[in-house]
Amino acid sequence: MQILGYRIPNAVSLLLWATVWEIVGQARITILLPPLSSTLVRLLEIAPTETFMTALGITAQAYLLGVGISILIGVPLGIVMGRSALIDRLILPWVSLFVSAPLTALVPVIMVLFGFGETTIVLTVVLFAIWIIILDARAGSRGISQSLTEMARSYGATRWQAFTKIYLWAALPEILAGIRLGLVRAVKGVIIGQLLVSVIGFGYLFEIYSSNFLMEHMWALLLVLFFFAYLLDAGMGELERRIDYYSAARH
Amino acid sequence: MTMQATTQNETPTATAAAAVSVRGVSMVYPGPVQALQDVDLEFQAGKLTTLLGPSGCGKTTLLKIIAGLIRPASGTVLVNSRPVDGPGPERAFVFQDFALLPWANVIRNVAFGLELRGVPTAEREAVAEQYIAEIGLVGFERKYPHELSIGMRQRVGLARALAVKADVLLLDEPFSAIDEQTRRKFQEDLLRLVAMERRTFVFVTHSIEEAVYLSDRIALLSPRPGRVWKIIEPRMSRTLSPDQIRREPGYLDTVEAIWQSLKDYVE
Repeated sequence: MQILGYRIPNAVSLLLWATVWEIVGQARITILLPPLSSTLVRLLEIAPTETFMTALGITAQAYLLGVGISILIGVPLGIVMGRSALIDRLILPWVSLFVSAPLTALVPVIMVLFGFGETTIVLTVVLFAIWIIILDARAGSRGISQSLTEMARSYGATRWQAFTKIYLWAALPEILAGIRLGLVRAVKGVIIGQLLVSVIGFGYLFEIYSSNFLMEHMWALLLVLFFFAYLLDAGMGELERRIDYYSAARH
Repeated sequence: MTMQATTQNETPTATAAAAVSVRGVSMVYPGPVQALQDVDLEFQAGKLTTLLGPSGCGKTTLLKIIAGLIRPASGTVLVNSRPVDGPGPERAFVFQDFALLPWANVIRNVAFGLELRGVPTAEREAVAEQYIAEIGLVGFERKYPHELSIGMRQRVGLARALAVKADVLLLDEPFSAIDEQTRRKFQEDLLRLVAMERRTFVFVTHSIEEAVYLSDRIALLSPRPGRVWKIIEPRMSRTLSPDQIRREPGYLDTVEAIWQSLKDYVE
């Protein structure tokens, strides 16, 4: 962005809104919004505590497990759907349904089935993340040019070789885009799951903080979460840029 | 085998040298569109035979049937006297749009056919090096397809087909995406390859000049439904320089004769 001929770094807008937050907070307009500075101080205070670290550990573990399962199942399934009309017809209606469904409403069902433990949280993460990963992998594998699939066949590739040496790579730009969206949805999944279960992880902390009106604590927690979500998104964005050179050259 | 016996009865002269025989091949696409009708054709070993015809005459379809990528509605294809049932290691395909792996460098692309066959890395890269040298891409081994010119990309496609050491090379309009100047150079290089490699080349093109310049034999296909309409053997001295050939009466007459026979189909 340029203003009056000067290049304005992207971080400036972040800084601007941080200032607004600080001013509104200092004005003590509402108890719900403490100043940014005291939130940050609080963050430094609670971050090293065992409660916080345990919550972070549980959340991270459930998140990574859920995301891992979503990728390991979602990517191959999406690719196979893109290559086989039969499997596509069988599964696509469900994927399309779930990708746009209000999934939060389903979490209580998972809770009933799997209890108030980590399994429920992991499954919630999968529930939120997997559909978009499947859909994007499918789109990627449908877009593979016919000559590339014919090349695989005419040079004698087995199904497995075609999958691992060609389809997976040819669909990689779409697969990564799907994973990127999936990662963000998974953050929602892990937090919503924990909020509803509310006896473990960050959900437990949110429950304590909000019921005791500990707003600084709560905002500190949110900052941590937003930061991680942003970091994941930016990391995936960087990965996508690295394979840009061939995503344009494929077709 | 009975197959062989019939062959000898039908075409006693061509049999000995026929690397590929197409027998009564027909192809119908849903529509229904009769793409090919009862095509009989022999491709002589060590020669370059061109399938030439107007667009929609089924020449690419015929090439893909020989490749085993498309199953014909009826008829059979024999390669080295064995019926074709899908792709096989004795045939290699060169694609119109190159079909390279964009994420793999030149040497991996050239060696890819061998990689699929499980040839160890060192061995297959040695073979790839040899063909990279043969098609004039030394120094580009570690480059990626998007870093190469269009013409160079097709050289990679050609080297990949050569590297699997197939007896029969199937080329589907390989030069159609390449600009005129590069194409001429490429055509000359291909002639040199045909002479040197002693393999059977089946070449598809819609360019009359290209067909006459390159071919030992041209099968002229008629428009839909495609069938073999004429077999033409350009008679000109291959010992002349490329520029001389392009001005030679034999060359020019053949181009003209083909154009006269095709003219009626082009409105």
